[in-house]
Amino acid sequence: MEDTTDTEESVETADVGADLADNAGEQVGTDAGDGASDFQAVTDAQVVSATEALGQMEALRPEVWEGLGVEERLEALQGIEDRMAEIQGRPAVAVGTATLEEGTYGGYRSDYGIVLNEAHVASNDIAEIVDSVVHEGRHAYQDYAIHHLGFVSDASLVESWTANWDNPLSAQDYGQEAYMAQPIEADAWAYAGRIRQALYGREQL
Amino acid sequence: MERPEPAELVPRLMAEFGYPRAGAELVAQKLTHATEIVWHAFLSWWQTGTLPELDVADYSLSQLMREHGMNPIAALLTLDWLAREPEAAKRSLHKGHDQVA
Repeated sequence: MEDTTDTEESVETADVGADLADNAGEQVGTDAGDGASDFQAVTDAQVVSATEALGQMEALRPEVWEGLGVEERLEALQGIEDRMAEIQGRPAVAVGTATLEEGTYGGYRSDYGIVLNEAHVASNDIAEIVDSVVHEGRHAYQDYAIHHLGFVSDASLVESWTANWDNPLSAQDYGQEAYMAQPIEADAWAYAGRIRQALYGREQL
Repeated sequence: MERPEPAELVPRLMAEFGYPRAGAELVAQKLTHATEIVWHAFLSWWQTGTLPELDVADYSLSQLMREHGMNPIAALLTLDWLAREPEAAKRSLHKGHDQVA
């Protein structure tokens, strides 16, 4: 994490979203009914809302994105995260960039927020970049659910996220397939893939 | 050589390569059930310490280690996925991976 300025800003961003988070449990619902189907319905509604909200962001149109400078791009990416956090009912986190290893497009850290590979952000593949921000933001959602029991109605799913969070399977040690199949990644890949497909019509993983 | 039981690989995976027990058991299970080409490459490396050249679906062992930062075991397991589901594996590798903490 090389961009320490962004790190400091992330704390401020998260604080701003705290009030929003206080109402999140009501939005998602915590009834003791069928948690799994409730969660699926909430997820489906989030995808619809996200597609509508992100679809209205002019900066995310390929022809506009290509003409944006670095600061404008970062502003747009933060705009994605802010909208996704509101839709998901959690605090927004900061979005920053860093020089990361080839093959690592980004990451999420509880104490920082979303970090994207600066080479990734410099590219003109806006569908891929939106996918990445939404994916990492989904990890922020999982992180929030793990630390606020009842926020997500499917308790067994949250249990699997918690166990996985404490024992992640890195692609570097376990290979790409095991990395993709673990609960927190499978959820984030599927979620971001749906929104990407709805926005840009590209094939999802 | 007949494939060993996964449990036979676990102690060395833990002692020499630093996997926790659950991780070593997962890796051992996957390795002992890998496709023939990957199993033979693994066995050669496991016994001699020398990594063979191996290409599957436009990816090589050394490329996965260099460009994706994988250790030899992770690279072999990824080649195994490429051998079984080349299109899905290639799409995933094209995207890359993230880091969560």
